[in-house]
Amino acid sequence: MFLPMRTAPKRNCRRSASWRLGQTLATVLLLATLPLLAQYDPALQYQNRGNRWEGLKPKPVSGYDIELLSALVSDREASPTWPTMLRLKFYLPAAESAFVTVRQPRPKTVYYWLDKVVPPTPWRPQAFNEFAWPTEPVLRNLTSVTLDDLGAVVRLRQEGPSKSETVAPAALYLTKPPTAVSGYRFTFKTNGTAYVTCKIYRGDKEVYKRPQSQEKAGSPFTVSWEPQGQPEGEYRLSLSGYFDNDDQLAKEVVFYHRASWK
Amino acid sequence: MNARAKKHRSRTLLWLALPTLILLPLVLLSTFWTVPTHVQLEVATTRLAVTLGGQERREIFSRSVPFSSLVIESCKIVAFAAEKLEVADPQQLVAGTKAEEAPHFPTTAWQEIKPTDPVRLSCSDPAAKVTLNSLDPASPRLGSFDRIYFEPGSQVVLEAFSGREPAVSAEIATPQDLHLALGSELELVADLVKPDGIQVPFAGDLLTYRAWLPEARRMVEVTSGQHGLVLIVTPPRGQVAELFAEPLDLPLSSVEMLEEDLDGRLITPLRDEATLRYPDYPAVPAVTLKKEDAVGLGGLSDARLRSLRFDAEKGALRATFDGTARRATTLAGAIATDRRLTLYHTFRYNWRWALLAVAATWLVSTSWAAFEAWKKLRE
Repeated sequence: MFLPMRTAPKRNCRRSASWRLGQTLATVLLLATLPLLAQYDPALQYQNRGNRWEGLKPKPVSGYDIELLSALVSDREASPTWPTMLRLKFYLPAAESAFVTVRQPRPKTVYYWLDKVVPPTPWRPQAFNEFAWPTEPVLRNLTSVTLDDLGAVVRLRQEGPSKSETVAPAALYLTKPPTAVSGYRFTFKTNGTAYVTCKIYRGDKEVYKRPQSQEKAGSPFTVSWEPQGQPEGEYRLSLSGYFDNDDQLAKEVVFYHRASWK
Repeated sequence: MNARAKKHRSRTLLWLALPTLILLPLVLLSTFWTVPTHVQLEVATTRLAVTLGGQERREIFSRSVPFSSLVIESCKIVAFAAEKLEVADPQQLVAGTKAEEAPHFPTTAWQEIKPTDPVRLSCSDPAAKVTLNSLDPASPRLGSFDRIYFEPGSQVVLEAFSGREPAVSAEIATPQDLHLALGSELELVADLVKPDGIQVPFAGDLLTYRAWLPEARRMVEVTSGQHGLVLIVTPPRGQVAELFAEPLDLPLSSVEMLEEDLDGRLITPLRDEATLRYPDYPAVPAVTLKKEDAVGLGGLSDARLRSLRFDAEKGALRATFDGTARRATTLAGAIATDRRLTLYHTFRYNWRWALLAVAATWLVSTSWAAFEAWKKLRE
């Protein structure tokens, strides 16, 4: 019987350094036996690359009953090939810590993953922030991955996912950043078959509704919202529903809508 | 005792001790000297990624896979002929509130639209998704898909899901053209998918259609994108066993069953205890892996997927692999163990070597006895 987790598990911060070292060594040993990762140059594997951790990882297990995989603005450039740099831009509405994750929402055999970003200067509040990284070390070597396959989440205040989270929708672009936002795309995944309804609120007023749909376990689904004419400010995306074992499903994503990105 | 006799005695002792002096370190060394090992792994896992080996294209699924529901991701075009096509007003959806109560549209929600011939749904959006369901929820079988061939070198990721409607997802990394044989009618949920040349009276990215197919063309054609597609197959109840080909015996160039948990640890998503056997050495005890353990096989040669079965009750894929591994590691908690056999095992558990050792012992002892007897006779 499938039982989705009700709450996000907490990391055990009190584990000793030797335990962690042993864990790391064991993981490295096991990784050495992992043939599909071994197909790639070790240089492509997830590692510290100075201002970010980037590379290929095994498929992550989701311990969450519903997870936000990506929160992007809709506007995307066509990307036949990878240019020298890939860029991420987001608006930070207030002085808050921001945690960037770039990933592939659809699990492949191995995952492209970028996180632990160290910006050249601290993220600036009430301003657009950008981060650029070279495609040469990893992305350009992944022949089956295009810009369309990537998602990004910029979480505010907290690094990891939770039932209620605040995000800054981001733009992933190659050369030209969007000057205005025509829409947002939020991609989620459930870890059990679920019936999901999505609504977006401005205060208590519903401004968008995606009808209830059946979502299969592990299959990402995208909520696409065009905020035409909606005022700038804070919005709340609410997912509700139930799993096929009758467990209730609830998630909330708070984000700041800003139409002009100039 | 004179010096000569002493020397003779020492030499005899040396000759007696020499085999021990040579063999003991060699035996000790052989217990550490691992060799590529022929292993057979039986697992019940929720996820399995394999790369096909060999020279010929092969099938993993059975020749006609029945399904009660099918989700298609990363498709390019979905096309079918329709005698009659209707679309539902998404505003009129009656949402479900519990598992037994599926969301549905009232009769008034449906509006007939003029179909093109064929109806072509374009999945240009990277998040596009098409779900095929039966119009009659009580009907156990919607259709079946035709034979799917996998080219050598293509990668397939299979994942099993439990629940009320157990399902298997298959991510196929090479382009595919699929033909789905269906009944007379179907419900189609189009998520971020637009029909070509059809004026749809309702707005929204998530629309539900129902179609009645002409008797002569009850087929849906699916063309994948350049990088393959993802299918989530819900088999009809009672027909779960018909999912994968039997016998399978599929050549593989790699197998991967690892995931990373929230703490960054590598795990194998096992649903049951797994067994690692050594088919060439049946006397070597099999290794039993607990559900929480991880297993990694690397540097495989002559690897084959011997059998694959969907265990709907446990939401697992029961697979049997066979191959020679240059690396075989298990991870229990933080303890990694090399599971390859050593040279010692190959001597200890190989009947040829055992026979040779018995023969050598017999030869040495009888030769020695004969030599002693001959010496006595000479005296």
